[in-house]
Order: sequence, then structure tokens, then C-alpha cells
Amino acid sequence: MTMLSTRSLLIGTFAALTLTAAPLLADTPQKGGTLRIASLNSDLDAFDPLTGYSTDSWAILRAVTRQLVTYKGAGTDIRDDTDLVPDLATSWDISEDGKEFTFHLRKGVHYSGSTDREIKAADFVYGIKRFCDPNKQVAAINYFNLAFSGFKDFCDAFSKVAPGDLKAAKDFIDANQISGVSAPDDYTLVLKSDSKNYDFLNILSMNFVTPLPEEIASQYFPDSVEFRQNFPSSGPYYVENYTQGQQLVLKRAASYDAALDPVRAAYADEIIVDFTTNNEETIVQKIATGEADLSLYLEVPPRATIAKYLGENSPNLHASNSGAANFITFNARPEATTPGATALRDIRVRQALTYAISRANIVQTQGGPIAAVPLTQIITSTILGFEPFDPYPTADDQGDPEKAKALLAEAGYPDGITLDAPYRTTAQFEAIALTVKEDAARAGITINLIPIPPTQWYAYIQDPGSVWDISLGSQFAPDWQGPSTRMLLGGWLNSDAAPCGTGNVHAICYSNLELNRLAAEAYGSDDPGPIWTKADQLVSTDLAWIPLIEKRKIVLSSDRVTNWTWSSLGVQADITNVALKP
Amino acid sequence: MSDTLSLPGRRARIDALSFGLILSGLVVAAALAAPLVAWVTGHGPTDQFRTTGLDQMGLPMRPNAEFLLGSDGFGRDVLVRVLYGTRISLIVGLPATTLAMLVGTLIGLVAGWSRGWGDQLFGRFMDVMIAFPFILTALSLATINRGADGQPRIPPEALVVLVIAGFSWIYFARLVRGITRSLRDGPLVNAARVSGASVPQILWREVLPVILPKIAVFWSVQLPANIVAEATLSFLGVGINPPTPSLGNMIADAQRSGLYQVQPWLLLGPGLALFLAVAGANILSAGLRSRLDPHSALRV
Repeated sequence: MTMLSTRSLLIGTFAALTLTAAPLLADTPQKGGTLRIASLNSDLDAFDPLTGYSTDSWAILRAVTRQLVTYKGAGTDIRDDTDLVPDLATSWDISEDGKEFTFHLRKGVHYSGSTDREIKAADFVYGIKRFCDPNKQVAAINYFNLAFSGFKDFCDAFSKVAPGDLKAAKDFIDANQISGVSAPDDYTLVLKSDSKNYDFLNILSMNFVTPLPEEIASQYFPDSVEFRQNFPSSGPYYVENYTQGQQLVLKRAASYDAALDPVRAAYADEIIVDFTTNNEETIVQKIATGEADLSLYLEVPPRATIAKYLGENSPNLHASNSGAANFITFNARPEATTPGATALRDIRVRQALTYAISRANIVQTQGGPIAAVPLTQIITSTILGFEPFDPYPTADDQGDPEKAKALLAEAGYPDGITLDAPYRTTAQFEAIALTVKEDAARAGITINLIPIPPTQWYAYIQDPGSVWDISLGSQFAPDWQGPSTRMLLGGWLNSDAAPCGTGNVHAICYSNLELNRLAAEAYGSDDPGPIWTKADQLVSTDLAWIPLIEKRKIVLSSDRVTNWTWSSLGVQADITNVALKP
Repeated sequence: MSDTLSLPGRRARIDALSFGLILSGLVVAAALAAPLVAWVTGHGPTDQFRTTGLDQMGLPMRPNAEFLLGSDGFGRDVLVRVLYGTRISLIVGLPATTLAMLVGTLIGLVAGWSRGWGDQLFGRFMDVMIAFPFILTALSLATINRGADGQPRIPPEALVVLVIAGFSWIYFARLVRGITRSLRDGPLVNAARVSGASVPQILWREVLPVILPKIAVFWSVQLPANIVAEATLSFLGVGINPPTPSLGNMIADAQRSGLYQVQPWLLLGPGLALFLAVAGANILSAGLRSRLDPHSALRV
């Protein structure tokens, strides 16, 4: 009796154990396999930590670079991946005044690919000096002008070196120092700023601040085909083969020691990016059949595909708020004197336009609530300071044409107005443009659409000679998730940081002294969140631009992919942490 | 051009012509009826019906009582847009082909009549024109056509007509040049010359009447090619700009959005209209050839 009960108990326990263990075993990510990525673009837009500034290039750079600090990746949602963790730095000390950071680097981490020597602090110093190489400048120089003492002076002097001469660039780098960037020994890096910045570590988390061995990197022009082929990798993978327009093959380095990398698990043995499928339809087909595991440069899968995956309740559709937004900007340059641009300087006309638009309709043409959510404020849901705010609410975000008409009449345009509106000729922007045109017509606002090919977009918008009133092609994606509010409220819209002129993003030319004051207050604050909230409400009410939607990122993966992990910088799969089913 | 419908025997020839006429007549009637259909259905070609034409996820409707051919990705009526698109095809195709015919005939007459270096020059010039890449030229012209204010310098429809005519006159010119050359030393022309007629008189009275039936047939041969050319340009985004529907940009839209998977009529509608317009013109040309130019029709 006792025997029996013990036995049955044992059997029961065993059964229970197997029951719980089976799914556990299946879910435990395994090492091995080849992760295949199908790229919509026929090549990487950038493949050098210096120039990579698109989420897609960052998604790939994640596998071949390491930073001082980084993010772990999150299985749930992009906004859950905002905690900074040590990467090549094991720890850091911050000076009393918050302006000087001393990083202690991990010992025994080696490069792979074109060299296998150990990574040293001087490699960070070289990487930062390379930022203002006259042959190719770092993609986001404004951050570093502010972040490192003496950086701007160094760059001004470097700009006098003639481009096209690799030796001259190397000689300059060897002979000159940035006062705020130094390596007292092989494992200590000291970074100094002129001001205290609460987001200093976030700025360092972007792929730009990556160590590079000077003896290799100085042999090639930045981001050249030769550089890409001889990429000195500090990450878990090295470049086995790169053929422009064909494929990029990354292999896990034999020397890669997971104990020295708390972040990247590097499950796949090999990652192959294929550049020969330049059609959205074919890419989603390949993922459905398992010929590819992930996509690259596919901003959003076709609506019909999303519906199909949703209908099947597929676990291979991954959706997350991305913090990226679409909005309408105004041509506020002083040169813009068309009747439309003049009218828009009146807040009532801007209010009329925001009331005329149905954000619900825009969400619908983007693929419904899974793909986008209406946005009624300047900052987005994943970034610091976000508090839901809608200064001009309408029922179900449908817009209010009557109110728009009344506001127009009050502003002196009882017969409506006509606005010239360029847009980018991609499926996504065309959907927004055609929807806005149709909805604005309800309120007596005539929109003349000006189709601009994507490759000519920035040239067109930046050219002071271009005549346009509103831009339907404006968008934003946060440089990092979380405390990146600086980029919009302290950058694009701040006339101290981004004065009107060449290079002013989207030709916004917005100026609001109260915003500038709040931004200055936020930079040095230990609790900038509430200040940014206030600043957001200020400019959202003033309609610095008209927010339309916050995009959600939708990614499809093949059946083989497990251990789904979002990378907040890449805004898609963290290719160093997803695994393949055996 | 193989003439499958002009089988030996008079009956078959008449059938090809009438069949072509009926089909083309239907296409023209459909294009003309576009505003009427829009009025009856209450759906303008660019009107977006957000609640009835799209579901919450932005997916279009399949054919139903309200949208006979379903709706597109903006909740617009596919039937109405196909009819308006057919209209654009004809509005562009007919004048482009006619313009090409006029220019081509004039140049072909001059080239065929002149001898020595003049003829050589025309011959080489036509060879160069034929070797010119059509799509690339069209793409660059469309880029140049944008003024500083972003608006087109000349209406896109007119540009498309000019580009298509600019590339199709050569075929008319070659045809006319060949016939003129064979006629210029023939008995008809010689007789006219002896009787003291001037060159323009000879061309007008003796040469043109021989050429006319042939170019009329060739006009209907070239028309479908030019309708397809318009669709190609719009498909590539250098033709008719959205939201104005054209068969080409509708097909491009269906393909780019992938929505034809849920609503096949996005592709079938404009595809079928293009097929009918082209088939109608082709059969008409076959019939015309048998009627107006029976010798060459039999030779084929």
C-alpha cells in the first residue's frame, strides 16, 4: 500500500516533470543554424559604425560591433528595451559635476575578421577621432559636438585636410587629440563634456561609438566596399564574405567568448543577408515558405499579408509600438511667401488643417490598429516625457470639417485655401497623401499633390528654391528608445540647436523661445521627464507640426525563428539574440 | 502582324472588321459612359468610401451590390476607376497615334522623295531614333517636366502624348518612305511629271492616295501598342499622377500594395479593360487591312 502510493506518486511527479519539461526544452534557444535575412534594398545603405544611421543598418551592425554600453533586447515590446547595460565597459565612474565619465573596459575581448588582436581603450579614441574624417563624416555629428569637449575644434582642424588622401587623414588623427577623449591606459577610457547631459550614456549607446583598430580601418575609405569586406568586427560575428548587391555572410567568430558578452547570445552559427530579392511580395513569400527567416528594409509588410497572419493568429507576426511617427510640416522658411505658406503662419489655419484631417482614415490605410495609432502630440509613446495629450480632440479621431471651415473663415479664408504638398512616392507615403487630400477637401482645403521620388526627397525639401506649403513626407524615428526626447524637442524644433537654414531637418524653421528655455532646463536636469512633458504640450498646442500617426513596427519571421527578441536600436529582430529551431 | 481572323473567304473578313468595330465601339462607349456610371453609383473616380469600401484593417471589398467590381485600398470604386482609366487610355492613345501618323507621313514623304544624301540622312536619323531607349527617355523627360514649384510644366497627359508620339512616328515614316520610294519612279508619277505637275501636286494627287489606306491600317496597328505604352509609363510612375486613375497606375497600385490577393479585381479590372481595348483595336486593324489593303493582308 505504502509502496504503491510512493510509486504512483513518483510516476505522477515524473509525468508532471515531463509535461513541464517538454515545452521548456522546446523553448530553450539552441545554438546553431543559419539565419537568412532577405533585404528589400539591393545593398546596405551603410555598413560602417561611422555612417550607419538607419535602423536597418543598425540591426546588422549589432552583430559586428560592440559599444561601451548597450541594451539587452526585449522579448515583449520595443519600449521594454530601454535599460542601459554594460557592454565593453564593465563599470564607469562619474565625476561630481556629472561632466566626466571614466569607463573601465573588459579585458580579453578580441576583434575578429581582418584582425584578431585584443580590443583596447585607444581603439575607442581612434573611432571617435574618425568621426570627422573629411572623407566621410559621422552621420549624427551634432550629438558629438555637444558630447565631447574639444570635439568641434578637432573637427574644424580636420576639415582642412584634403579628402581623398588616406595617409593625410591618418597623420592628422595621429598628431591631434580631442581634449575630452583620452585613454590613460589600455583598459581605461575617459570622456569629458562641457556640460552635464542626462542622456550622455544613451548617446554612447548608438553604434557610432564602436572601437576600431587603427591599423586596419585607416587603410580604407570609410564605408567603402573594401572597408566592408575587411570589417574589423568587435561583435560576435565577422564578415566571411561581402559581395555588393549580392550577399553579406556573417559567421560566429571562433574566438567569441559568451562569458565576455553579457548581451549578445549569438545563437545562429551564420547570418546571411541576401540583397537579390527587391520586391515586398517576394520577401513575404520567402518568409512564409521558410526560404528566408527575417526581412530587412521592409518598413511594413503588405496589408493583405498582415491580415493573413492575424487571421491565422500566427506567432510569427511581431508587433510593437516603435516611437516612429508621420506628420505634416509647414514651409516656414522666410523665403516661403506663397499664399499657402503665408496663411499657415496663422495658428487658426494650422488648427483648421488639423481638424480637417481624419487620423482614423490614415490609420486604416496603413493597415488598421495593428500597424498604426492616431497621434495628436509631437512626442511619441516610447520616449521620455510622453503623457497622452490631445489639444484638438475630435470624435474617434475622425476630424471635424465643420470646425475646420469655421476656423478658416475666422482667419479670413471663408472660401477655403489651396496648399502645394510634396510627398514621397512610396506606397506608405502615397497612402497618407491621398487620404489627407481627400479629407482636407471636406473642409474646403485643396491640396495639390507633388510626387517626389524618394531618392530626390531631401534635395527637394532642402532646396530653398522649391515652392511648397506643407510636406506630406515628413517622418521621425527615435535615435534610441526612452530618453531621446532631445532629438525632437531639443533638436529639430529648437531654434537654438537647429537654426533655420541649410540642414534644418524637414525645413521646419520653427522657433519658440519658451521651448528653447524648457529644453535648456531639461538638459541639465536630473528629472527631465516632466519638463519635456510641458514642452511637448506647448508645441503640440502651437502645432509646430501636425502629428498624424505613430507607426507600429510589424515584423514577420519564419517558422524556424524562436526566442523572439526586439532590438530597440534596430527597431526589429535582435539578430544576435533570436535563435533557430534545431 | 498576323491576321488570324482574315481567313480566306469574304465572310470571315467582314466578321473581323465588324467584330473589331463592335469591340472597339464597346470600349469607347464604356469610356464615354464613365461619368454616367459615376453618377448612377454615386461614386466619383477619386471618392474614398471609408466605411463601406474598406474594413477596419484597410482591406478592400470584393465585388458586392454597392461596388460591382469591389473597392481598392482607399475604398474607391474599382469599376468607376476602370472606366475613367480606359478614358485616359483613349485620351492619350488616340491623339498620340494620330500625331505620330501625321508627323511620320510628312517625314516619310519627304524622305522617300529625296534622293542621294537627303535620303541617306533621313534613313540614318530614323535608325538612330529607333535605337533610342523609350523608357529611359520618358523617365528623364518626366523629371525635367517638374518646375520649381513642383507642379508639372506641361500637363502630364500632354507629356505622355508627346513622348509616345515622339517614339512611334518612326514606324509611320519608314512605311511611307518605302512606298514613296517605290512610287517615285513608277508610271503614275512619271506620267504626272510629264504632264507638268509640281512635286507637291504629285505627292498630293498620286502618292498620298496610295499611301492613305496603308497608314490607316497602320494607325490601328499602332494604337494598341500606344495604349500599352501609356499604361507602361503610368505603371512606372511617369505617366498619369495619382489620384487620377489610369489603367497603368491602377495595375501598379495593385501590384505594389499586394492587395490583389484579397481583391483580385484590383488587377483583373484594369487588366481586362486593357486587354479589351488592345484586342478591339487589333481586330479592327486586321479587319481594316483585309478591307483597305487586301494584297498585303493576303501576303502575311
